[in-house]
Amino acid sequence: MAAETGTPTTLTLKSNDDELFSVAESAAILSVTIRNMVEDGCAGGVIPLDNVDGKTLASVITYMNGISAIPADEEKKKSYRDKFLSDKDFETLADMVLAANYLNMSCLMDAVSAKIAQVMEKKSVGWVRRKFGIENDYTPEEEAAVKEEHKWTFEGVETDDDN
Amino acid sequence: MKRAKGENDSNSVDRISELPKDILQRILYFLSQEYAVRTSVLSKSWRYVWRTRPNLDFSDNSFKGNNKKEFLSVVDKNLQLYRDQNLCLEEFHLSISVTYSDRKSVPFLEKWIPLLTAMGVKKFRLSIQYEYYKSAVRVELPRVVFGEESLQDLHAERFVLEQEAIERIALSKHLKKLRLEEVYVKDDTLQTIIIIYPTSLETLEISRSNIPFQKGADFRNLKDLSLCLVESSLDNLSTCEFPSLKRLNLRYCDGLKESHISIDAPNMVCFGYAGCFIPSISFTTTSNEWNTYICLDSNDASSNWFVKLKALLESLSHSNICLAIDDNNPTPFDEEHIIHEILDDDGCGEPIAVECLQLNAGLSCFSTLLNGLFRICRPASIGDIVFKSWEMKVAEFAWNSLMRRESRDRHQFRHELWLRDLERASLEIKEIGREEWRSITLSDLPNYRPREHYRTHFALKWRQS
Repeated sequence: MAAETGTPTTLTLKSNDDELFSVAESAAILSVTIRNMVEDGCAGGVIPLDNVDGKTLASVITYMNGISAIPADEEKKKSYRDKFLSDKDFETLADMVLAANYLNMSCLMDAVSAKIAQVMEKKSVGWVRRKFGIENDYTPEEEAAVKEEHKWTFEGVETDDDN
Repeated sequence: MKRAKGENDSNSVDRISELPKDILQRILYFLSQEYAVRTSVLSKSWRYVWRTRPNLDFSDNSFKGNNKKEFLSVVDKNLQLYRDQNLCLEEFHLSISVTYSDRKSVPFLEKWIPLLTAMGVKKFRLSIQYEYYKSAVRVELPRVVFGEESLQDLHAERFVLEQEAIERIALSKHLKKLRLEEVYVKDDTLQTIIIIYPTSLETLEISRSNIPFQKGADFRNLKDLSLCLVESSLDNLSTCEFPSLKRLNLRYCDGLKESHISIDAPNMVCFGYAGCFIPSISFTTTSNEWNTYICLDSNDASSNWFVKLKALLESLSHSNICLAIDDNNPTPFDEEHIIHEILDDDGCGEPIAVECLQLNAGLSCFSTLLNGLFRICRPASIGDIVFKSWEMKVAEFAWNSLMRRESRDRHQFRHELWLRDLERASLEIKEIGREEWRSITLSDLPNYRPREHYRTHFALKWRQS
């Protein structure tokens, strides 16, 4: 593609806090949003990404470079994703999932969503509220009514741990 | 790469509830049904979010409610909800077991399944099992299970089928994975059963069933085929096309007896066979790198056993062969008989190169088996089948057989012609999980404990003939 259109093979991305990043086009086009810009010939100068801050963009670029270096082997890619996300806290995951959504990177979006789901799975309602800072605005009666509506999901006990 | 400035530091602000709906929907997609539903209790804004997830996933096995009746009612209510409120439902996964006493499930299936395509479901996965142990009475699998267009993955276990039911399978045009266990087709009409599998099939696993293969069937997308304890004739496999087949596994299929099968599968990666008899099977494949695993119980060591084995190895000689022989034969091979058998046939032909040979044999027939096998194949290594690590006395015996440079007498020599070709044999060991093998002597072996943590084999180097 680069040879045909004369597009440089390195792209410059700009975060919403004006950080500039260089990234190989072949890695950056994992983002459908960026790929469309490249295909439309709008990727010549600096590509502004108005919804992504520098810290998150740095992380996303690390992911882009890492995953595109792995040949077509779904298992290796999965284990790279798992490792990449393993030490990220929820704040970072939330930033990443928003960025992945904006950049239209379905593989990263799914990996981060699954990671967040994994945190919520098998945890009590109280634990999830505390973990994510969700304020319970139900009255005790309302809460009891909602629980009653889905009674089957509240049988048995859950084990909360921080993993 | 530049480092970013630190900002958006972690605080106790509720960010998850602020995420856009389509992201929350994606997160909920990855939760189990029960934990997705439970998010409705978190706060008012979460009350109905779970309903936006495009998938319903129910398994009575992990169902936390009270009983099957409640399970059925929960599934029913949820499906109704999605339908009545016009909610988007793309995937529906149901795993259910049926007992003779609660055949109530069947009318539910008959109600739910036809709804799915109409509701826009694209991926319908169904696992349905009959709990056999509670009753000896066979139950018929509802016909409606077959033929649903959205069906993508079907696993059915321990049912009886009507012919018309299995014939409907062709209607499931998106079926990718089909697994039938102990599913028998009623064949009391004595008519030929015609099954046309959808060409979308990628994985087909059949075990303990009498479901036949259609002559000349088109399995253009099939990657994995696994048949276990299939009694009906498999002759028609020779007439089928398997352009995408990568893995073929045949285990204890009596349907392979008394016939020769030729598989047209240009892209084979792995062929596995396990059984009590040696099948006659060959492959038309252009694949250069493929592996075969042959595991034989030799307790059915009929006449011509070695000749048949040689023929099998010959037809698989373009692959990397791993041959395992579990000799639990109470009456050991008669050595004279073997030698004659092989000599009478083309026992003098080229032995086949084999990647590894694994044996489980009593000491009484160990050398006889080895003499027979070394006449037909040249393994690069020889190991133990059960423990993957030699027991001391077997290792000692094998050591003595393999390390001997000269035959004891002429009579023996006739049996052990292979000794001339064996350039070097060495005992090697590796820790499980490690890659590299290292050479040890027999007296070192007892130092490697516990035995389960190690693999041992003899590496064999043969003279090029």
